[in-house]
Amino acid sequence: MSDSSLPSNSSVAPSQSDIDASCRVPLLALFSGAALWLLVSAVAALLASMSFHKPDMFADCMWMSYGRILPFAKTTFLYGFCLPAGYGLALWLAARLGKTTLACGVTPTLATKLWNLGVFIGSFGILCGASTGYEGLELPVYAAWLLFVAAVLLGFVGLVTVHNRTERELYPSLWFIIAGFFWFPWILSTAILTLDVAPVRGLAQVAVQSWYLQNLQYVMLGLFGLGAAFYFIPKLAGKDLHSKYLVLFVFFTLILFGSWSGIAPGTPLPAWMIAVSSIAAVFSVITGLAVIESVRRTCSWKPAEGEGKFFSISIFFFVLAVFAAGIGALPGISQRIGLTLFATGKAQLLAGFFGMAALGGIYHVVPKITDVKWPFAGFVRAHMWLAALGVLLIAGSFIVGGWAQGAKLAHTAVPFVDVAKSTLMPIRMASLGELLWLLGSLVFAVNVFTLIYQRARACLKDSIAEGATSLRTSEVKA
Amino acid sequence: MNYGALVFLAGFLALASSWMGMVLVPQLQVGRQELATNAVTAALYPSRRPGLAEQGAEVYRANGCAACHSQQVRQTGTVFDVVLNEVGTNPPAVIAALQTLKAKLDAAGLSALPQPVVISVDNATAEETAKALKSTGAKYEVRVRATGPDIERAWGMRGSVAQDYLQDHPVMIGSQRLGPDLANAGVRAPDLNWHLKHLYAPASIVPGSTMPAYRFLFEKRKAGRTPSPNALKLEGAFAPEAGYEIIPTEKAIALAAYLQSLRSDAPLFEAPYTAPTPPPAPATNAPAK
Repeated sequence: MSDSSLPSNSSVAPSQSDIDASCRVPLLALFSGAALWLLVSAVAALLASMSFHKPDMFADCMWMSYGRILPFAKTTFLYGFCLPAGYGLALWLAARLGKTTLACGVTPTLATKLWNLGVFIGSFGILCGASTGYEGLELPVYAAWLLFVAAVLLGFVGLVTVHNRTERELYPSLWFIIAGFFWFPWILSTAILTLDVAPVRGLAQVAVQSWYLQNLQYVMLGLFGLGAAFYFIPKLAGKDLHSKYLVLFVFFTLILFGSWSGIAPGTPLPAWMIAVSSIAAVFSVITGLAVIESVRRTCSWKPAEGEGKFFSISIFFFVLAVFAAGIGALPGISQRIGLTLFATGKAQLLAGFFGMAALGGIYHVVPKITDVKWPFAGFVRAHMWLAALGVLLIAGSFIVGGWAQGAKLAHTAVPFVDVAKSTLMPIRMASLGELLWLLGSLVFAVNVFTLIYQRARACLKDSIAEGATSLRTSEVKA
Repeated sequence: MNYGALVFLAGFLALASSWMGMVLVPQLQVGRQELATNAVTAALYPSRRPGLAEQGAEVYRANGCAACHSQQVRQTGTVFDVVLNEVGTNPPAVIAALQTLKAKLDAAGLSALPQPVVISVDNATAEETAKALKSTGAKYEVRVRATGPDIERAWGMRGSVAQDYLQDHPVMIGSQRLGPDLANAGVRAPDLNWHLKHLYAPASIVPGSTMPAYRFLFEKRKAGRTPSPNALKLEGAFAPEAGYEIIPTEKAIALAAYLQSLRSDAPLFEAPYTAPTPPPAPATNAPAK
């Protein structure tokens, strides 16, 4: 078969600007939605923590009560910000690394609309009291189905893009991303089917819920976050990735140990599940060590510049999170910190890891696909510090507070009211972190929407100028 | 180097194995459990909640109560007490047995039975004690007690087991203890009005409570000439201004009924404990004095 018989797109790589142009509309749709939901979730998280400053604050307002606004905040963060941002970066990386244009035309944009619709009706459903009651999947089932369809479509677009690639070799980031495209629809459909459509009985629901949450929070976000980090860190440092095999090791340990951990010790589930899950959580530390080693060998601790810093901080949070999870799963310690704020702190570290990676990626990608520089360049740096300090403050106070809370819970001479009061201080400290995070989200949203506005105005000007020129030519002809 | 197929296979195997392990097998092991029998009364356990309490579970879910309250009692161990109830026909043998056992109980204590012979011992010691007492013909009882901080806090008589949740959907075992565990909320506070007052103004019942008030579950309205029978009886700073009364809505009553129905106190084969003996029922219908 001669070269000329091959379709042109499989042999000739499209230009960089063509690739970026093909990503523009779908990615802007994903990222602008993500920016908006990030802001909404940050406001909601701050409101939620207000209940600990003044317990009667929202006593007359059903919508604002802690048990509704907290799941609302978590849902809009996870499903509104994290996953769309992750999918956006994943699609861009699939096109960029495969040296091909983003496939399927308007499908990813439509899928994004569907996704945001799902998050919108789902999260407001939670405020109205339609939460499912399962932590991590509070989204009512009708909204979850919309997300499932959108995720299948986005994954399909990503896989077709990878299939069309002109660069045959798969860069390691693509392994993570391809796995992610399959992972989320699988876990989400399992959760919907076994928790709602044909609900399993009793504690089997808790097993499914823990499995789902762990696979979403750690594995899924880990796949997209680390996938992006293994591209951006070497790229922004101007180095080559140290070793493919080490990254392959990270990939395998992440999906293997990650997907088996997640059952909280002490849950009245069969003891073997807790044992296996704790062992997996302890082994997950290996993933963290391998990530450190890989980053160290790639850019030898040299702090990256610009958006690269987001990724350095992100990796730092990831390592802290796996260590916290591993140490927290050790016998003795796990009994002490069970059912305390410690778990929240751990989850916040993971959220911080993915949040920083996604933000760094968005800050890098958006100017490329729109050809517009960030309108407020100083905001990027400010956002990095606000976000990093915010996460540290939130996670730090929860972990330290959880540790103290656990000690008091185990010491039965301390009356429970005092135990409950002792959790107020860490939660109030965390509100300060929430505030920093909110300010960061605000400057981010301002930057994103100003950029989109500038881009739209430039486009409009161009098309008006074009129209005027064509009008003039037609006049001349007449 | 192109690892496409390998990566796909590895990812598939990892996810499929964890799916089997963490979704399918628990369903086979836990999800197919049948109702258990109460080890003492042989009644089926757990029974379904009354209709009002089932509605209350929906209120509990909708308001995300599980964000602060767990419903799982954790037990760290089991200990045994051996209690001597009657000396029987051979007191010297009993005293001798007690001496060999080095029990604190001595001849003087035998006059005021029942008395514990050993307290908080392990299974082997309890069996040994029981064997020694059995040969003397004395009447004794081995009591099983669960231990752990949760039990000491009186959050339950035993640890929670999978059977406790068989009738629930969704199961809201919670992951936080910003508030106390509620697995046995109905045992601790069997009074519906207690729960209603507590929901309306937690600090009126538990001084220093950090729980938010759920006033939106109640209606404040002008009192008629005679106060409504279902108005909350509130005192001091928590009472509404004069001429007004606080009426619980249906949701508040349902939620209180649900909290009242929370009791995982049946002694089960997996979670044994000796329930305190109830006071003997009166022999006649005469009112208790």
